[in-house]
Amino acid sequence: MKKLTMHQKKRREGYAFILPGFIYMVAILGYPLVYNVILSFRNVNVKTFASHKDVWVGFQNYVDLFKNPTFRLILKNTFVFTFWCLLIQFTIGFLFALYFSKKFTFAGPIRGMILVGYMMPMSVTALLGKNMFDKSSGVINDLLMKLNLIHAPVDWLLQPGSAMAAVIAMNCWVGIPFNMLLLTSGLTGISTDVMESAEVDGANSWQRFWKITVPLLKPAIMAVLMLGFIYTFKAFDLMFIMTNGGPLNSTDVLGTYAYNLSFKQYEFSKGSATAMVLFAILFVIGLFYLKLVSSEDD
Amino acid sequence: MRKLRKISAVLLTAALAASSLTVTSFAESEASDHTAATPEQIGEDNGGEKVTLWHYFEHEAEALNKMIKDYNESQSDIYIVPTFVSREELMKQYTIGAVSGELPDIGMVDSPDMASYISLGVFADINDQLTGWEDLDQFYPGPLSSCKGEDGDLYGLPNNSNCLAILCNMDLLNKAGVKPPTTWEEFEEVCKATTDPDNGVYGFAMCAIGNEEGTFQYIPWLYGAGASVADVDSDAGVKSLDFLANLEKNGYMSNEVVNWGQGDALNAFVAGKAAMLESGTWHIAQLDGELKDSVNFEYQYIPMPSEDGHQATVIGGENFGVCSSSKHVDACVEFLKHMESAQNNADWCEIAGKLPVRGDAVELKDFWTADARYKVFNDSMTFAVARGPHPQWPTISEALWTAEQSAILQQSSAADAMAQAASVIDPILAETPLPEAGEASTEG
Repeated sequence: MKKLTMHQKKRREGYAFILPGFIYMVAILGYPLVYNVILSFRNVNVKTFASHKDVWVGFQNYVDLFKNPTFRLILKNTFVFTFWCLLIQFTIGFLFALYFSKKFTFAGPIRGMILVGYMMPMSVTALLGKNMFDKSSGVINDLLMKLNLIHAPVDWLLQPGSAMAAVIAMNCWVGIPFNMLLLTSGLTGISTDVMESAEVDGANSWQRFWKITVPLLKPAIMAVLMLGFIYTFKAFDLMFIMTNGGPLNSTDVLGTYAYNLSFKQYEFSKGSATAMVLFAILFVIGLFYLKLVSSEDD
Repeated sequence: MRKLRKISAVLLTAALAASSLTVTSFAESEASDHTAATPEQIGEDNGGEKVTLWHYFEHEAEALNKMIKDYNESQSDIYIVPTFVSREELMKQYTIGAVSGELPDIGMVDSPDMASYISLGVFADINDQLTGWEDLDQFYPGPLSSCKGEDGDLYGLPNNSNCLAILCNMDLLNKAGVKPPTTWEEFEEVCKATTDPDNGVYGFAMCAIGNEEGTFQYIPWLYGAGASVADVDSDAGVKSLDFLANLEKNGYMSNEVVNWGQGDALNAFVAGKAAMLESGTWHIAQLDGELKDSVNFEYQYIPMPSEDGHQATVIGGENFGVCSSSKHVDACVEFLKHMESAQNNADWCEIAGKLPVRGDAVELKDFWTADARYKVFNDSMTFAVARGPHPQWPTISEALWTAEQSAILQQSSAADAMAQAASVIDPILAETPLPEAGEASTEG
């Protein structure tokens, strides 16, 4: 046997190290993904499944979906949900991060308590939301009535617009601590020396924020927005439990719609196609994020 | 930058861990959803082949276990082990099982869902085993038709039936000085007379939730107006939806009905928040059982009101089938025949508070005729309509409850809502029409 050079040996060792991870990725992620892609190009449904009469239909499922007004509504819902969640949770999360980066008594414990929302399983948050926003027995209507802000109970989960607002509110409850956490870590990375010298040079707090904090925090801001987009866009359990996508698909998002098609209507191929649309959008965002991270590194 | 990547990595890991935690907690809750019966409940192992049976009976589970115990002790070919699986979970398991083949030997299914599962290949064709069984003639055609596939073969046997009627809070009706209604017109008048916004009392409560339950409760109104699933956008179909939408518009019915399951609607009625309720046969057992102490008023059941000479209610109930992956199909069919024999069906339905699926079972007891409440349901079976059977019933059903919710929430007119529903339903029925038997009413 030919003797391996040190370099080749190292190389082989390297491959050996990534092999378990590679097998895991292929088996757990690769196989279902490929299966899903194939499924989305066939017409597997309740009528063709058992008899194996399903055929290759190319992009027909995708064409059907985009022609369907319900699917277009759901695509819009997903973007509306993601946009408002990102805007609200980023703004408030950033303000919290700035506020709690000041040294004051109990800053730490209070920040810790805000994190509870992030640690709670989403299913619990969703159940809380369902009960809190209930028209007749929910605490939110009760409070608003007692404060004399409203005179009749609000139809929170019974009207399309307010139901969307309610799920956005519940998602932000989880999203705000997530944003705060990441941005706080970014803030602690900014050297106090820079701030102090800027202060000596006569920069006011507004200028210090825009000229020093924001530019130095840019990598953290981009990361939190990207990750936030990915987490929010693939929402499922919140709507599934809190509103079941209703009323009238107004809180249905791509995740819940794909589940509904596959498991309730037995339209397996259309469900797969919906999941592929979700995947494609997140894939593009993911690529963008990777590019961003690697260019920052250079 | 490196620090940030570390943070992101940590966060991603945390998120992954959190989501896997959620999965674990779901898995745990599912584990508690799967409750296998113990040997004390179903008899010691009789040495026969082990056969699994999945069901979602809750308070009836004890009676089911008792019957299985008797069967396990009476023969030694098979040893049946029943397992409780919640309804939602069971439906998911059938769908997954259609792909993976991991199915029980015998499975329970809600009657309108059976056609889809037959089409998906979940249930075995047991027509040959049942051919020549003289008891078959005794089964009512409605429930039996829900066990048939598109080929007309039997894939299971019905276990019990139920239907819907109107439950009146007589204290509220008497206070308002009105009698139980018999027509839609009278129904609306009673709603008007009993609605009392100051005390949060509505004239009527029903379930219009966005799932099969919502469709189930809507069918009596659709057919009661003289329409059917095949012509939802007809004048009669639009009238049925208009009627319900106007109840909400006039304040006689809460718009919360779109988020209420049938249990939630019953709770509202028992709490005195509604004078009338669209109520199912199985509610009687609950009114006599866990709700007994909460019902502090006189109540009375009446049949669904009629409109223009039309009167309708809807058939509900459960079937049992033998799953296609079972290695003991013949032995399982023998058990089904035993389970649905006249005597066992009568005994079972008395305990469970449901209606038998065969004529000779009803004759064995006066339970369904002596109790005025059960009599209303038993008599209503003469004008009860079945849902489907149709393999794409879930899609038809979604179109129906979507139209119902849309009109009740005043998001669109009844005519527009029904036109939308027809645009979904009509192409499906053009390809695969509803069987004639599905329209036929059964005799109770």
